[in-house]
This record gives sequence, C-alpha cells and structure tokens, in this order.
Amino acid sequence: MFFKVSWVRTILKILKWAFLILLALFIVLVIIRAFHFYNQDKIDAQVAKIHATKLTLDDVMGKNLPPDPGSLADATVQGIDANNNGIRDDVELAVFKEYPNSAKTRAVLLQYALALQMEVIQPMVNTVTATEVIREQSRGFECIGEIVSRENSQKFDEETDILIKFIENRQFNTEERKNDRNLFVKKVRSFSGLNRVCDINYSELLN
Amino acid sequence: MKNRILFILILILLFLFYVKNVSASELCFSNGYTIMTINGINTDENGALYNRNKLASKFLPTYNNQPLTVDFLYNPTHLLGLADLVDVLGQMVIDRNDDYDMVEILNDASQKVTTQKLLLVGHSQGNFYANALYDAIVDEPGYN
Repeated sequence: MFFKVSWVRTILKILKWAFLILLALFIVLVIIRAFHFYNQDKIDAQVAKIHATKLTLDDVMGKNLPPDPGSLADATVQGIDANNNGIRDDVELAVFKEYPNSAKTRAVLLQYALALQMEVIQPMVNTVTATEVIREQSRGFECIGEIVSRENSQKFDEETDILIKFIENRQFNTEERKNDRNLFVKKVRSFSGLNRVCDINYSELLN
Repeated sequence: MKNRILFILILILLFLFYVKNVSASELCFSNGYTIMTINGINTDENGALYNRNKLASKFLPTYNNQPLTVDFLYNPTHLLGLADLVDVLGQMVIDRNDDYDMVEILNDASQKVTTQKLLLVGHSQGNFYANALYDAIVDEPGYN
C-alpha cells in the first residue's frame, strides 16, 4: 500500500512539473510572438514598398537626369540621388553616357541599378527585407538577359556579363560598398524567384 | 530528481522533433520544373547568387508550357576552404556526406523545392552534395 501511494505521488509530481514546464514554454512563446507581431506590420509595409519600387519610362528616357555629383558620389555608401528616382546619380549618368542610343539597354540596366541601390537605402535590414531586395535584384539580373539573343550560348554569356559588370563595377566601386554588399547578402535566406516581368516593356521601345 | 531530469529531456526532445517537422513542405506540384545550383568550395553567397542568376537568365521563364524555377542551395565555405577540402576528402574516399552542411542543404531544399521535377546542377564539391541530395530524395517513400 505504501509503495502504491509513493508511486502515485511520483506520477503526480511529474505531471505537475510537466504542466509547469509547458506553461513556462507557452509564456515564453507568447512573449516572443508578441514582439514578432509588433514588428511584422512594419516589415510587411517595407516589403510592399520594396516590390512597389519600379523603374519609370521617364527614367529610361532621361527626362529628369540629375547633375553630376562629382566627388560627393563616393563620400557615403548611399551616394547621391538628387532626382530621387532610387538610382544612384553617378551610376545613372554612366548608363546614359555609355548607351545614349539604346533605350532597351538603359531600361534593363537602370532596373538592375535601382534594385542594387535598394539594399543601401533600407530603413531596416533583416533577413526578410534583405531577401526581398535580393529577389528584386535577381529579377533585374534576369531582365538583362531578356534583351540579349540566346541563339549562341557563349555569346549570350559574354554579352550579359558585360552589361552586368557595367552596373556592378560602378555600384560597388569602393571597399566600403563591397563590404556592405557582402554583409547584406549574408542575411539572405531561401527564396523563390519573382515572375520575370521587366519594369519596362522593352519590346515597345524603338531602339 | 532523476525522473524529473529525464522527463524534462524527453519533453525538450519532443519539441525539437516537432519544430523540425513543421518546417518541411510536404506538397510538391506535378506542374513545373525546378533547377537547383549547388556551389563548390571557396564560393561566397555573392558567388552562389551570381551562379543562380546567371543560370536563370539563360532560360526562358517557362519550359514545356510549365513554369521553370531556378534557385540555389548554398554550400558555405569554412576556414578559408581548408575545412571543405577535408570534407571533400571524406566525400571522395568514404563517400561520407552527412555533415552539417548537408543537413542545411536538405533543409534548404525542403523549403525551396515545390515541384516534382527537379534538376540539380552541382559545381565542384557541390556535386557531392547533389549526389547525396539525390540519394536522400530517391530513398523517400512516394518517389517515382
């Protein structure tokens, strides 16, 4: 009899501890989720803003070109964006200087530059926002391939590399910018590509 | 006291299994194709991302009238590539692919792959992981 009472007591003790542990875990979970939901709205708004950022036809046609930022271009990681179109001014001007007669090329290059610049102007950088920016960058990267013929694979590689390097070499032109880029990419998590629709319907552009 | 400790450990273990299982997607669609790149040693996230983007840009968004997804599974570099060289030796000599990176790659794949048709493109050490991933997938019930 004594043995049985002792046994029941042990089980009750274990159950009590199990309940207390589950309660403690539940409280910790609730606290963590409360912080999560508090930040989630802000993150959702930022993600919506990232995907709503698009290149405009006016940007492609150079209707609001910025002045040359001069030495101020590399003074900060963000650089200068005097015309507030999301593209760094020195990169934007370089595209127009190199491709004055090809609106299609400007359209895809400026879209990629716009997506790359997004990573340095984010008000909050975390795994979610970093991943969404990178998704936009990948869409921009793929868009560059859209204006190059795929008939010859080697030529396709060479031509797309020239265009991509043209933007990346200018966008990441200082050690500080390169380091920031590396830190940003480390925050990226699993993602699936966005629909490959370029911001500008380049097929409607004449040149 | 012993019972209590044992019970706490069992409870924690149960939680761990639960967390691990809910992260995996159990549904894969018959419609669509997925191409996954797995990088080799001494390739940082930038390089892995470049490989993914480069491969994606070479294809049209659809294949056989079905959506085509291109993504990457990241194989990180450890100790400037030295630890990876040791891993490669293990993978070559005793066909051992059960390291931490393989677990991460498997978890990553379970989140990214949503189609039944999957092509793995490995580079260098990425090929060892591609083969191991293939073996892991074909060993699963329901694979055909």
